[in-house]
Amino acid sequence: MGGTPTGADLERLLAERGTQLMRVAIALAGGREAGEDLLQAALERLLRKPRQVDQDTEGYLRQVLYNLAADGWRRRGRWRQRLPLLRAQASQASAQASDGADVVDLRDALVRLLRQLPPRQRAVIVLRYWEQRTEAETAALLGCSEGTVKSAASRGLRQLRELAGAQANLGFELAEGTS
Amino acid sequence: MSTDLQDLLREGLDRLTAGTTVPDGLVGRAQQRNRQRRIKIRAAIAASTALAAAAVTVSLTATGSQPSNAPVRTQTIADIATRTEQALAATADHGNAIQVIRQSGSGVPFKLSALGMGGSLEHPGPIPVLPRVLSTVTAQYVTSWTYHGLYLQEGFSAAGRLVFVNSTGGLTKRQSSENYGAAYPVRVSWRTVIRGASGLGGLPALSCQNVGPSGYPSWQASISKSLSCGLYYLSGRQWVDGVDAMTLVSRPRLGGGLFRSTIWVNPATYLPVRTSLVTLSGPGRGQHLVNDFRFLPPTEANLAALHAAIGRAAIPAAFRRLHLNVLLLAVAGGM
Repeated sequence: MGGTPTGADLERLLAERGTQLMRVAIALAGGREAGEDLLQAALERLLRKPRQVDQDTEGYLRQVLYNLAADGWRRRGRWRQRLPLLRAQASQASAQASDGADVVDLRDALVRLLRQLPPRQRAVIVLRYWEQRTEAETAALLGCSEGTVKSAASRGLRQLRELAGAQANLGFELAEGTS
Repeated sequence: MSTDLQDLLREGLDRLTAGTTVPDGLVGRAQQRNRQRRIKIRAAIAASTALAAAAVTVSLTATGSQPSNAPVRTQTIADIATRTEQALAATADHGNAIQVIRQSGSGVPFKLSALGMGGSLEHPGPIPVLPRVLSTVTAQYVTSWTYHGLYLQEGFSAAGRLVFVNSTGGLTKRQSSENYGAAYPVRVSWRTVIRGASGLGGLPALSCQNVGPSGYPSWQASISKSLSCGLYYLSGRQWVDGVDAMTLVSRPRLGGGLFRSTIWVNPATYLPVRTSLVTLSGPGRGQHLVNDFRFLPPTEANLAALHAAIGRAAIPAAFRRLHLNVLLLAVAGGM
């Protein structure tokens, strides 16, 4: 779908591809409620600038999602207010892990730690390691250089390891992955 | 136990996003928020540009009018409202003046905001949001100059250092104009050509129910409408910028009680000297915004001051050029 999307076009797009888009938004935002807000913000932007949609609508909507997330579209608002809570949740998760939690707890704990990364690093991590995008694709989607993507991914992973390591009770070692 | 961080992350995100469904009405809510946003945009633009022609009224009414310290005890709010409406209406017909507005706030930084102008920009491109480099730039106060189609915003730090300049022209005439400027701390500049103002159309007419203290759709219109609707009462007089101004205070029903607004009116010209807006509830509770108005006759000295402002806005060639597809305006606290 290209050209100028209307509200009805977007309703159809969400009916067909909404689940996938919502998953991306949740992964980028770090939670369901925040993901819903992010997707709505992306829809608002797309409706405001319909003539910029010179590619397929889903592709453009995804690009807007990535960029809004990378720019911390509301980092001065609720995101910051939630950080202390998220940190507390992460600490609680680590304590649970120390009691012999299984791998599932570790995955959830890592996702919570992911929320503590700066927005751009978080977006890069999601694109590179969840959506399995190449560095070139990630750079094109975020409008930055491949070098920026590479360094953001490297820093993001390093920070995740440090955050996890700082919580000594997390109870597992994180192998150096290829980035 | 040794495992791979990336695999764990991937699995964790899979778990986080599993069983996801799209909530109903998401597109409808997006459309509704866009409508609200358009009103804010119109208000922001109006707040910065709409009094461009007011100075001529100053020059016309200042001669032969009562001195600023004339007694006003016999005046009623109805009388003041009528005269102020007349003075403001006259400003709409004349533009031979230099308007200067100093916008400041209590604890409210001014940021450059990207305003959506759907379909009206020359360069649709891949930048859907305000470039990150600009989102870090804030000013403590903003001075806006308007004169014969020129519109210039200057953002200053608390120490008086120029932080950004932002110039826009022709916004109210539905013609092509350009928005250009620079952010000095981050050494970037931009230029955007705007065709028409289609993105601002379709807004509701002003009424006693929706008139507010934000300057929508223009300061002349909102102040006149608010006064004619009886939304202000005469509180007395206060000295403001050397003027023994008549102080008009908003009644609670203005803006649904969310704001308290004060207008100080020059008794010689019946034009506003200052407006003040205090947010009483909601997300911006406690914010206090002040607009100080000056309407200068185009004397050599005043034109020299304008030219000095234009000179301050010189953009070094070495600045990195941003390719924007948005209109930028400085607004309190961002938008």
